Amino acid sequence: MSSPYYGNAGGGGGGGFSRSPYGSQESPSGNTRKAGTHSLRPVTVRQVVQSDHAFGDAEWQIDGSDAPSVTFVAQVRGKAQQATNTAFSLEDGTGQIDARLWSDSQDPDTAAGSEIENDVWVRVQGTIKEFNKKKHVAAQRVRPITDMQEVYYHYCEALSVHLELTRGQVKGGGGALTSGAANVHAQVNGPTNVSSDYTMGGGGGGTANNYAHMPALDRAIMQFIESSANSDGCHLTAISRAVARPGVTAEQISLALERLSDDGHVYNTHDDNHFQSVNMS
Amino acid sequence: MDRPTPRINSKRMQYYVGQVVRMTGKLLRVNGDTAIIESTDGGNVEVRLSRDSHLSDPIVEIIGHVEDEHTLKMLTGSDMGSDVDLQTWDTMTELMHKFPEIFMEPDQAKPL
Repeated sequence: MSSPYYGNAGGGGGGGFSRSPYGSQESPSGNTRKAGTHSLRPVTVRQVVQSDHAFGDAEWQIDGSDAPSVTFVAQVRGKAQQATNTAFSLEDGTGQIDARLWSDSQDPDTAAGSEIENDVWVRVQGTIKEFNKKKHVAAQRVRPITDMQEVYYHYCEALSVHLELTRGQVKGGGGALTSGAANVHAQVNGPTNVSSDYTMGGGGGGTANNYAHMPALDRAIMQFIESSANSDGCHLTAISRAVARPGVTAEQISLALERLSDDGHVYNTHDDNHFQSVNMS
Repeated sequence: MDRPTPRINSKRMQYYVGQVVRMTGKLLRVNGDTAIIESTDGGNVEVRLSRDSHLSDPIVEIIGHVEDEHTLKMLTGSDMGSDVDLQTWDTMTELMHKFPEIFMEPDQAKPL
């Protein structure tokens, strides 16, 4: 299994791959796969201000996981047009940060972000930079927000991701904090939520937390395979029986297995119907 | 704005006297230089408008200095359109105080 295709956890910094992406328990985040190299993190300005990196060229980290690219909403409090870029002073109630939007090289005559005025709410997408110990955001996009719901929605999203990355993993077994994240999801996505049928920290014991970031069904499958500790892996029907819940279809289960297989969490043993976790041998 | 401006609702006003906060609400009426807004939790708050205030939308967000538990002295404000769901935003405000780490300084939070 030490194929680079599976080991590429996108962990930034050190580069390379570890044999099992979940073997690196000493890492503060077991979640590097999810926050892959190109992931876009919804954050508050405060999180940008508090982001940190291990050394000069290392990836910026928020909540202990890489945040190569961030998106946030903020109000424009100041604007300075320069020859090649426009500098914005942005503030969202949680903190203040400067952002630079570079002019389009294809269209140098149009000043970047010229349509954006002071006090307007904007959606920013960019990367965190540091210059002379002062952080700023190199923005790829700054666009005015037209539907104000987006501002409120963004905070829900940022909080939900933050809780998933912090509480969801660290205290995976304890229901209270994870349900906080679930609550936010419920408010954003509506009350239909399959995950309520699965309790975390079931059979998987100590390894359960490694799967905290997965959809509930995938997590249940991983926990079942590992708890059965069968060297030949588990048969599809055994898995289906174990994770059967009202409303979970056979199709969902095979899709979940396909997903887990694609992501390098499980592999087939002696035929296509037997699955084994990469953490078992 | 060196310190975050915590988002609050009307029942938190009493705990923030002397501080700068943000409050979203429905603009009920304007009378000279004062306005009444209905905060996300349904309570009314009197806003002493800033001289250059130009609020016009049904829903507004006020950044202001809490004078007493009923009065907010507006520093600035922004129009937030007409279709923000205030109940949802009130829930979000509560969550911000429950999980303040990404929204404000820990000592600014007031979970109720």
